[in-house]
Amino acid sequence: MSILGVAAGILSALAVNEACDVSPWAARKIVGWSARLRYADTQRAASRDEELAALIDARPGKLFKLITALAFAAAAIRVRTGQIAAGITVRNLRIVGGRSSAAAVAAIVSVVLAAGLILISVPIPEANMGVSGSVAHVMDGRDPMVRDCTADAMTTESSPVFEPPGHLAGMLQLRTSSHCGASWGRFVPAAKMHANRPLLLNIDVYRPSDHAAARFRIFDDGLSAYGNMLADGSGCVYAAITIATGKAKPESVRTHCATASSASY
Amino acid sequence: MRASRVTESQLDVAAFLLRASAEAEEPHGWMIMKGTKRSGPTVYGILDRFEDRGWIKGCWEEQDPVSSKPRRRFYRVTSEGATGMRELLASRRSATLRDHASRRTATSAGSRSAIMPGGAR
Repeated sequence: MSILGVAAGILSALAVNEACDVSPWAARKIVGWSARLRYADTQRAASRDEELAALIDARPGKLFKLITALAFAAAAIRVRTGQIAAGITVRNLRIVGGRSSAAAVAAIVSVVLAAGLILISVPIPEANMGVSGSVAHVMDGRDPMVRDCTADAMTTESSPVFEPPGHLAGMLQLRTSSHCGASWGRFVPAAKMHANRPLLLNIDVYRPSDHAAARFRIFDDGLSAYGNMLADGSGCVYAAITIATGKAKPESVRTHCATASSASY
Repeated sequence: MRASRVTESQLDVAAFLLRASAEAEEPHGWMIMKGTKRSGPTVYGILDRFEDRGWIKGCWEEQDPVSSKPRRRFYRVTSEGATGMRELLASRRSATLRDHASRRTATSAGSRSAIMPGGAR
């Protein structure tokens, strides 16, 4: 082994050691930043800031602390970028960026690292997206409640669902949020469906312009249920429901195709 | 009618909090993460929701005023939360069991239909 090789080995070992020592500090900075980024409510942000710092302290392992912090950063970025993409605001990012240089550095580092973490598929919440299609939009396949899209949601379209035939089982609604620029399907039961076993509801949305679909499956339990979203900025979206009753080919009911601009407020 | 959406993670956290409550324990975030084997962002997203519903109440760790360590926050299930969580678990966990039973039936009948994991609403 050459002298250069030995020197490189020693230097890299020192670098790793330094990185490990810096990790807890960086992790605390990152979770604080994540809390401020994620929560618009400043009181909750401050509370979570301290709480997450305590969580990082409790987490054993220096590098694990950093990984945990990056997971929080990735989640916060995901929530925030979803809102920015929907055209809500970028003000919070600017405020956070201007608070201190340390926070700004932590922000940039965590954005880069979090993007890397997302790319290598580190598990993040809000699974069960079930999206297919050629164009990816930030809201595609997301849970509208998690994304805070339900507050301004309006029913744009609705269609009756009969199960068994001749018996009104409920209404399939296309819910649209102009705030999020996205739509999703919701099934509101009219009465309990008579079945001797659970019925599987497939509540899907489709965007014909690029053949995108977001699917969601849930067993009926007599409550209203909603599916995942598709962005409607690049084309209209319609909802469809299929109630699996054990028939070979269950019938599907769908709404008309609509966008936020066609919503009747 | 308000639509609700429940994930497996929420059920896990609810079950953990109810167990802790039965044992008169008030767990903090890290304990909940360890107990449910769920990631931090997932657990805290659920705690946010439960707090918003009034199902849990957080209280800060009492600490020496001169200490510079960040305080932990302990969570207690409210009476409303206990009722809500029990109802949630009773309806959704039993539904999960039914899901598995019907999936076996569907498979034996030749259906290729697959149910997404963690059936949420």
